[in-house]
Amino acid sequence: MPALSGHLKKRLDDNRRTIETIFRSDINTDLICTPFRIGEDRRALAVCLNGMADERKIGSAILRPCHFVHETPKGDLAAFLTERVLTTAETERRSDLQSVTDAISEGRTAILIDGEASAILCDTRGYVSRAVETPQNEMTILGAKEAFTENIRTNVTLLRRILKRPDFVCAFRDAGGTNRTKLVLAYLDGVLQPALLETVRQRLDRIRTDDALSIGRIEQLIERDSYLPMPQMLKTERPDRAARAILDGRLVLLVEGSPLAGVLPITLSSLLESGEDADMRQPVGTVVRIVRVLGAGMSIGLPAYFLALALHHPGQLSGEILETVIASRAMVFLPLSVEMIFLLAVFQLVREAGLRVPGAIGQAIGIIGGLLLGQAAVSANIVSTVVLIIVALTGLGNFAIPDYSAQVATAYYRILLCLAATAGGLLGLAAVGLVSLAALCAMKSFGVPFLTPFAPVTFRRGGLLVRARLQNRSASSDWSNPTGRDA
Amino acid sequence: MNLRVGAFGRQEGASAVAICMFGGSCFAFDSAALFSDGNASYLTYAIALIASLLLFELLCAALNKRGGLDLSSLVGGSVVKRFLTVPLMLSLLLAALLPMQQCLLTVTQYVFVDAKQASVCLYLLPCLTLLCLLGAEPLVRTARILLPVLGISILIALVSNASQMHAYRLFPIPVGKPEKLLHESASALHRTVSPLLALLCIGDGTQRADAQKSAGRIGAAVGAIAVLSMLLGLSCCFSYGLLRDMPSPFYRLLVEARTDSPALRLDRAALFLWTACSLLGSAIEVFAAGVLLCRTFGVRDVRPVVCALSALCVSAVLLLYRDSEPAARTLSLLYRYGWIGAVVPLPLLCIGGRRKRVCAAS
Repeated sequence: MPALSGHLKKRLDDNRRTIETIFRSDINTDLICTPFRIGEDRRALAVCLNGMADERKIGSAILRPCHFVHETPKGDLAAFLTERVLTTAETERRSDLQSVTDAISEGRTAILIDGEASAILCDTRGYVSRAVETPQNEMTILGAKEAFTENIRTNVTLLRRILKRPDFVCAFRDAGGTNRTKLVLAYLDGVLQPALLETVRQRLDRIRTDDALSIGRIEQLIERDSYLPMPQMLKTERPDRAARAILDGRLVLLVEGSPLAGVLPITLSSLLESGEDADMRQPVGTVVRIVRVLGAGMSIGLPAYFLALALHHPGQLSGEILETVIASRAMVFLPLSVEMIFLLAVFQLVREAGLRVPGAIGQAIGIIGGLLLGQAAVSANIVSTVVLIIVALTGLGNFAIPDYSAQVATAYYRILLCLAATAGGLLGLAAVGLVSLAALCAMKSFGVPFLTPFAPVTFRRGGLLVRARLQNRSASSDWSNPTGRDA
Repeated sequence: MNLRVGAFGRQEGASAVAICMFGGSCFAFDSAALFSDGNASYLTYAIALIASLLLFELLCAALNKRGGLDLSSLVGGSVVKRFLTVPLMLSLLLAALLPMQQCLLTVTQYVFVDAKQASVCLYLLPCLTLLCLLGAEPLVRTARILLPVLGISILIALVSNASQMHAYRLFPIPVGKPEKLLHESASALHRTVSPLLALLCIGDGTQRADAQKSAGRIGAAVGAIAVLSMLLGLSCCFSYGLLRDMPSPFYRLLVEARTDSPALRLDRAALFLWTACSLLGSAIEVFAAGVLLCRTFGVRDVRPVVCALSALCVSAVLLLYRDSEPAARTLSLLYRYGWIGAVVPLPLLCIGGRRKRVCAAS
């Protein structure tokens, strides 16, 4: 549907007919038009969508107070109602049809008065939404236990409860074609780089599709280099993590209907950071981070490196290891590379199956897939124990990466490197690894190079491996806050 | 114009120079000629480095006078000077292809003994082309990431060989043949000046003249430390008689070091890390040649140019590999006289720049 143009008219019947036509009230029975009178002589109409607006709020804050008005003033009736009669917390007057229909669509009530060419929009939103629950995917031991919900206002409240400062801005806006999706740009004014904010605004303005319904879709619509598997926006369900990012001078994007917040820009380091890193003591946090980075490296490179050595450079393996590999593969009929890629595919399959089914069954699928299927495959001489151990280590390393999108992205690199190692051994691995590294160097997340602060080298609060010590200082500069303004 | 130079800092520029210098110097040299009458490789390299730095300073001064940041700004509108850049481009391409040729030699002689050269080149060509297509900014950033890893691998190789090193193997220095020393220094000049030339071709990426200058100086210093330590380590490990007949001495250094763990040997991993660094250095030089060509001859898009140059380089590598007398002679000539294309046009370009400035001022 194209954007609506035109304005309300003075005749109530004309306005009612227009709105009923726009909302197809003949087939769309959700539209409720409640006629009532203000005083003795002025006809009015309350228009809302059933289920989106709270009927009790309409009754108590709009209809009941209006019934008690016996005499209407001679001047501006809409102003009189807004100031003296209506008891809703938020009211505004709009005369353009687009704003009025948008307001009705999101659960507000439009009051149309005969003789007035504008509508009073009252906030009566009261749709059912999920309560604040514990995070499902970013569970922590030491961190907070609250997660974002699908309600954008609740999400803003969760952030505001953490960031109690006047310069914390939550700019509401919408994006998309006809189906304008409500968004919030949350940031610290003066700390966030203005150029970044302008870039994001411009890219949001350019969204023309109605498909901008979730944070993942919006990420794809506003990012550059979308052919690369690595994410360019960190998606978190934890308000404390989003708040931390805002304090670091980044922008947080909230989308109506999405229980995740998008943090941008991001770098490789931020994808390998967990929400509770800062809650641990510094030496412990550093050890945990080293383990995580090793796990991530292992999950990308271990299968390919093993394939390259076993297939093309067996002399690089010690005699004992070579004997073990040969012995374990004695009865296996699949070629080593096919066996490895098959097991990696099975690992992805088990993981996907475990994710899509509810909690307890999902865990059971993981155990069945991991233990029984693996054992059965070894017994049936489909795979060898050595390859099974390597894929298991790869899987464990993959789960050590805190971000889900990054976990999935590493699977692409893993398979690509395995194919390269199969074809060209260490030469193939070096060639593909070099191109992949250069492509990551070329990638930017909203103007910030993905491998910052390593290339380009910039100021940083903490390294990839060593977690920075928390310091009792009011401000710190970083690539995300180059001015070093109090954050 | 789509030249894909981008923007990068001092550290990235310096890393690019150091990686190019390592790739060019550790892989590409003629062992038979270099160690024929003794061992002066470390001396000739140091002399070549000083000469390269002098040339670099001269070029930077000329650029500063012209108010330009990249080498093409010395050309101006002059047709003669435009054609003077052709040997520079060829020299950059030569600097890119010689390490690749040596890599191919090492890989086919020591790693994939039964493999055909063309099949190994099938890995080099797409890699080189894709790297060049990404542009200068990602290339220099990749160099910045790989440089510390490369440094660690060199350190491990040297430390592991420490027990086999003897100072007496550094001798004899062929002092009685000064013309030989000069000639080898001139040969090494091509390997030391090309990385600095490449930096100057994409110099506008550094955005400031002082950043460009210090990137060149620091990069040359870091590259020289890496190469000189490797040359000294190599010279201490093997006598010049052995080195003379060694096709890829640096790989031998790795094998001798046997950087093992109980589970696996790491010499081939280190070799392919060096190969990757060398390939990256070649990509930077090919890209620099492409940018110089585009700027000088007004080509608006660098991508088709670098694709063509990459293909040209890999084809030349394949041609030079052939086990025939003309190929060997050509290769030897390129090693010995390749520096002429890189060095001779540079002062002429600088002189032209100065004169034009004076005329414009008057």
